[in-house]
Amino acid sequence: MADMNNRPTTHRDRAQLMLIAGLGLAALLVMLALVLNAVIYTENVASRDAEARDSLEVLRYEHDAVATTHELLIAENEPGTNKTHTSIRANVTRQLGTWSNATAQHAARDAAVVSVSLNESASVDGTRIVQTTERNLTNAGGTPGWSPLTDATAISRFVMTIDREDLVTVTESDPSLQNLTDQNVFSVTVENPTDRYRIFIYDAPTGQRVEIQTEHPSGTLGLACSTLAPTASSTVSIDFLNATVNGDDCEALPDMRNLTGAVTVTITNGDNAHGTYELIGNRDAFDGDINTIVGTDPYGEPVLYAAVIDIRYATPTLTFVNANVRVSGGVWP
Amino acid sequence: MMDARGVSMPLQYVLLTSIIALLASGLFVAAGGFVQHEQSDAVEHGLEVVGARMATDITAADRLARNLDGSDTVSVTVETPAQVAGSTYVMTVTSSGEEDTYTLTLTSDAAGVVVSVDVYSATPIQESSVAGGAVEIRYVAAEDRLEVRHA
Repeated sequence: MADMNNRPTTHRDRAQLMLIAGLGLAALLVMLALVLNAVIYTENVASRDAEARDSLEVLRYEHDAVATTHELLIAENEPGTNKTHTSIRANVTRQLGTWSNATAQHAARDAAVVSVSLNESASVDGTRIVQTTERNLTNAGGTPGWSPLTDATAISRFVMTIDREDLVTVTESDPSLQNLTDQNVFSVTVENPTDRYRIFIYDAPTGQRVEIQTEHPSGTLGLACSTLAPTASSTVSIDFLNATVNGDDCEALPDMRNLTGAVTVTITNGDNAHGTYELIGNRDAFDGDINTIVGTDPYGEPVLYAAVIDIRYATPTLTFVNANVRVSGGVWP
Repeated sequence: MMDARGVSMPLQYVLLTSIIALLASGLFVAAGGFVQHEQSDAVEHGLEVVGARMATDITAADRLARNLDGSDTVSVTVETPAQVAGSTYVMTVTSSGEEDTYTLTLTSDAAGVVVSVDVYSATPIQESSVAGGAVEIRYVAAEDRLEVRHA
């Protein structure tokens, strides 16, 4: 050591410790700068859009595709002549393809690849069975007991408008099941292999009212639902799937949406009712009870009961494929 | 020399050196502690941001996957930073024990910081760990669940 040897100190020998301390401090300041830089980067990351933003676009596209297909179904299933299941499918495929191409061009601007197409093998053909002009609710040959729809696994629409004056006027104010069957009251039965709902529709003895009562699978008769029909020519409109009469809730109508499997609709005493109806089921075959010539009541015509579509959406960070989107036009898919 | 009276040169040197060393080490300890504290804060803040983004993207993938089945596909790639404030980290997804609720835990390797974020998903999520970087959130159709893995 210089000082221990009593050698005179020079300016060069001084402040080594200060120098070391300064260097150490400088290193700490550099580290602090790096940390601050990391904080700034984090703030930058925090302010970026998450990849989730694309998911909203996917959901929007999926919703639009379903809505478009639904509109196409309604348009293609409009009553018309010379329609076949094949021609309806071809039309839906072509128009869906046009829509898909248009949206693909739009999405390409955002670096997204999109498409929607009809999955023909999974789509379901169906039949609309209608009586458009008022007549008895008998089959094409005039038989009062018949089944307009058999072995359908789903029904999307079932509405009926009938006149009060042609219904049976029951003699009891609170009829039993036996009373209703004995008096040949008009009824509609909807059943699957395990459950059966028989819906009786009759003119109440008090007059001016149409009443509906249902025999449930247990064999008991439910409470009546009564609707005012003030004149003899008054009609009531019954929506069996929505359980409404003239637009109002009718508790007597059962919730039939839990009927699964092969469903059959049967009309009994159709000669004791007069009116029109429309029934859409996912059965694609006609039989002798209905006419195949459109306009000759009652008649059946082909419809596309349910369209199944493939939806694809891809961006550099997100891939979405939903190959099984079922679109149907009714309340009972 | 008059100013050197009573104090020998060695003693004077030792005193001076000691005082400077004491001051310098005090400065190091204070500044070092401050920098370390700031770094921990930076890591914690960074992990919170990464965790929130991951939670958002997992929820987005869940939203897309809810109505899917069979052969359908959802895949979301998230570019998370490989390091946060110079420290690598691991993300772990675990079930929180409550229905549809999961916990995303981000653990810093160096700074010892742990951040937890709640994730809500109606689609079950496979419990897994993945290091920061490019991460894929994928819907496994055969098992009807989401999976977080390296992209």
